[in-house]
Order: sequence, then structure tokens, then C-alpha cells
Amino acid sequence: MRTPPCGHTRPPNRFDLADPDLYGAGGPHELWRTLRRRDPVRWQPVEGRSGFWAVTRYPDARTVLNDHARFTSTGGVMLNMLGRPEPAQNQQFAASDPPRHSLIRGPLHHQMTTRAVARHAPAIRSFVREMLRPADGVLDFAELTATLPLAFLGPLMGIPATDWPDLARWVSMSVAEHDPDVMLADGPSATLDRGHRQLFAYLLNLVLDHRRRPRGDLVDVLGSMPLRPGAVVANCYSLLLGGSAAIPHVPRAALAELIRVGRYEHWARQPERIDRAVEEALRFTSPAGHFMRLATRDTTVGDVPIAAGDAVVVWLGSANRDEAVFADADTLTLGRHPNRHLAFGDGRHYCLGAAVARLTLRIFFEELFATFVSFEPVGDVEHVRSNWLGGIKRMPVEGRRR
Amino acid sequence: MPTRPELEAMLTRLWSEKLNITPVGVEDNFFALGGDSLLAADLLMDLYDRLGVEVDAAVLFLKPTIAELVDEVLAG
Ligand code: HEM
Repeated sequence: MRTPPCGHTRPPNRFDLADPDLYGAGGPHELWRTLRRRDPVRWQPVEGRSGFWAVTRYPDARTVLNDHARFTSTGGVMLNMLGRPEPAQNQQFAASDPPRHSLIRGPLHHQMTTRAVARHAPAIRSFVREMLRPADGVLDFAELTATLPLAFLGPLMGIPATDWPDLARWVSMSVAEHDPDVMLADGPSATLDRGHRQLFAYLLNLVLDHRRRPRGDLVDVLGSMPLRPGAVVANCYSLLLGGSAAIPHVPRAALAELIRVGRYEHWARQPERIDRAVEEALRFTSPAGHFMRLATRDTTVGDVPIAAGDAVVVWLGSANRDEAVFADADTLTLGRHPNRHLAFGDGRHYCLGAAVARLTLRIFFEELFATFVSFEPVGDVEHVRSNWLGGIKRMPVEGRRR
Repeated sequence: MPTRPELEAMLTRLWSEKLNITPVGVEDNFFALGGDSLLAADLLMDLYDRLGVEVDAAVLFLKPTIAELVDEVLAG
């Protein structure tokens, strides 16, 4: 007699990887695991729009991200752009392919290498110390970490701290438009447009301000390139969104897991392994959940035929838990080495901010471990409702200072 | 300072040029006419560079009509 396949390994018939509800309780790790095993390049229909191919295995993810000739960024790189025209195509380097991509990215990259960003370390450290100084006892760790991007956005873009509450809301509207904390009554699409326009308006004023008073930062570098004003602003938009959306979620989700498995003290006792801690926290949390490409020709991914024009979505959160690459992939462990995760993507679009993000996370964890002996949970963690941003928006804990 | 009709005529010309359509009415919505955020930024920068008129960018992005823009210029 044939045994039917075990129920939990069969992909549920009706689910939609674009559905933000799948992400309201953390990443859909069970589902991703099943897809990696059973259906690693899966066609996902989307109601009322054309669908997309969902790529969930690590090697396939790397193939797509590295082959910009077969998989273009010019049609937009996030699912919320699916089926919409991308106005920033070939204007914004994130929505361009080489060689155009490199013309804009190159000059910015000079200021974003590990060596170049090292000069910001003292400013970042004093910012982080100031952030943690008043924290004691019962607190919301999400609130505590909300301003982390300002540690480098000040020096890199000239963004003043007083603008942060507005900016943080507009960034959330632009990347997590389904989250009830920011969604407008008119729905997710109107929320996205509104957040986006608010940020564009803000950044245009910022560009004008830099023309009057140059600071030698990234905004000035963009302003001095042969780009139309709209393109300068669109690239500032990439920097701001890239710089602010994901980073606070790394310490939040990592600390939540350390508390859950009782490993905070173990990690805090080993500051000499901080670099490994940062890489493992990035892999485990993968706050930038997916990136999208469009196929430029009829092709295949892992033997599955893909037609020219099809959208291909790489699920970084899944690739980083691929058991064929990472032993005990669902365990957050300091012992992991090597750890070639894809939290910052791969290929030519590899995160421009990776060095400053690593530096900032390293400093943050060093200061956190040096300041707090222990954390206890004092309430339920609340996750962001978004198919792109994987993370936590409320996290009541009790911290005990050393 | 230019008058309201002068400003309206100026802006109508500029919008037509950017959006590549005529005619443009003073109550038309820039984004509904096919404008996008990049074009809106170009347009504001043109206003500033060519006409010396500076308006808060939020006006065009959030109340995207010529009438609103003229109100803002005259108020500023
Ligand atoms: C933990 C924090 C961060 C994560 C997880 C992250 C993740 C990513 C990923 C996965 C990509 C690849 C996008 C693609 O393949 O289309 C990317 C690109 C990018 N990131 Fe980050 N990022 C982070 C922090 C930052 C910071 C701090 C900045 C700026 C200061 C930044 C700016 C950018 C930009 C401009 C791009 C576009 C690069 C290109 O298309 O060439 N990111 N990021």
C-alpha cells in the first residue's frame, strides 16, 4: 500500500507569498521550508495582477541576483512595483543594470567602503551610547532602537534628528504599506503613493539645501553628477529607504530570539566574537525579505522554464535558512563559520550600505552587551505586517543594567 | 512679483512641456495627467532655477494642481 505524503511537507494549496498576513507572526519559515523541498521555483498567481516566480533556495537566489543580463532591475525591485511602471528605471541606480548602474553607484561607493565609513565610528558610538543611556527596566526595545539609522544618516546625508519622527513614518508607509500602524483609510496603494511623495518632497528640499550649503556628503556627490533633478532625488530616496528601513530590525529580532532561547548572557560574555554575532544576526533576521527582477528573455531557473518579462522574486529570508547550505539553519548561533548569507543581496546590487550597516550593528551590539546584564520578556512581540520588511514593531522587555 | 494670471500661464507652459500634453487646466492633477515623482522634482527645480520661484516641495507632491501652486507662490 502507498502511504500518502506526510501532510506538513505538502505545500498548502492556497497561499499567497505576497499576502502580508503571512508575515504578521514572523517569517513564514514552515512554508518556505516546504517550498525549498518541494517547489523551489514556484509560480505564484496574484489576484487581479500578473503573478511572479518565487525563488526560495540559496543557490537559485544567487544565480538570479548575479545574472543581471538575464534578470533586470529596471522593472522595479520590490513586489509592490509588480505590474506598475517603474518611473525611476535607468535613473535610479537601484533600478538600473550595468553599465548605467555603475556610473551612478561608483562615485557613491567611494564614500561607502569599509575604510571610508570607519571615520564615522566615533560619531556612531556616541550616538548609540546616548540612545542607550536612559534605557533601564521595563521598555519597548523597538522604540529604543527606532532612531538607530540616524547614527549614520546625519553624517552621510545631513539629515537632522528633529526630522526623524516624520521620516520614519513615511519610510514605513513606503516599505510596509499593509501595516495597520501606517496604512491610510484609502488602502495600501494610496499609502505607498503618499509615503513616497512625502519623501520625495522632503528630499527635494534637502537637495536644494545642499546646493546652498554643500557638506561633502552623499547628497552632494549625487548633486554633482550629470543627472536630472528628478534622478538626483530618486537616488537620495534609495539611500534613505535603504539606510533606514531594515537596520533596526536586526537587533530587535536577534534579541527576541536570544531571550527566547536564553542565550543573551552567553552572547554578551563574548565581545571578541562580535563580528560573527553581527553576521549571524543578519542571516537569522534577514529584514529585507525579498528582491524582485524581470526576466529579459526566455530562460530557466533550476530547470523551471521562465518566460521573457516574467517577474522573479528572490526570498532572501528563505535562502538564508536553506538547510543545504546552513547547518541548523533555524538556530541563531555564534559558532557559524563560514556564514555567506544573502541578507545584503549579492552581485552588482549588493547593498551599498553594507559596510556602514555592519559598523553600526557592531557598535550597537558592543554597547548593548556592555550595558545590559540581562533581558526578560514582559509582553508579546508584535511583527510588522509586510511581505518585504521582516521585523518587529513592538517588543516589551525588562532590561537590567550592569 | 508676477500676477496670478501670469503665474498660471507660466506654470501651464511648464507643465505642458514636462508632461508633453496640451491643454493643461489649472485644476488638473499633475499625477493624474501622467506625471511621476521624478518629473515633479524636475519641474520644481525648473521653477527655482529658471523663474527664481521657490515653493515648498510638499505643495506640488501633495496638492498637485497649478491653482494650489500659484496660491503657494503668492502666499510666499
Ligand atoms: C541591515 C541593514 C540592511 C539590509 C538588510 C540591507 C539589504 C539590502 C539588500 C538585500 C540589497 C540588494 C537589493 C537588490 O538586489 O536589488 C540592498 C541594496 C541597497 N542598500 Fe541596503 N541594506 C541595509 C542597510 C543599508 C544602509 C545602511 C544603506 C545606506 C546607507 C543601504 C542602501 C542600499 C542601497 C542604496 C542599495 C541599492 C544598491 C544597488 O542597487 O546597487 N542599505 N540592501
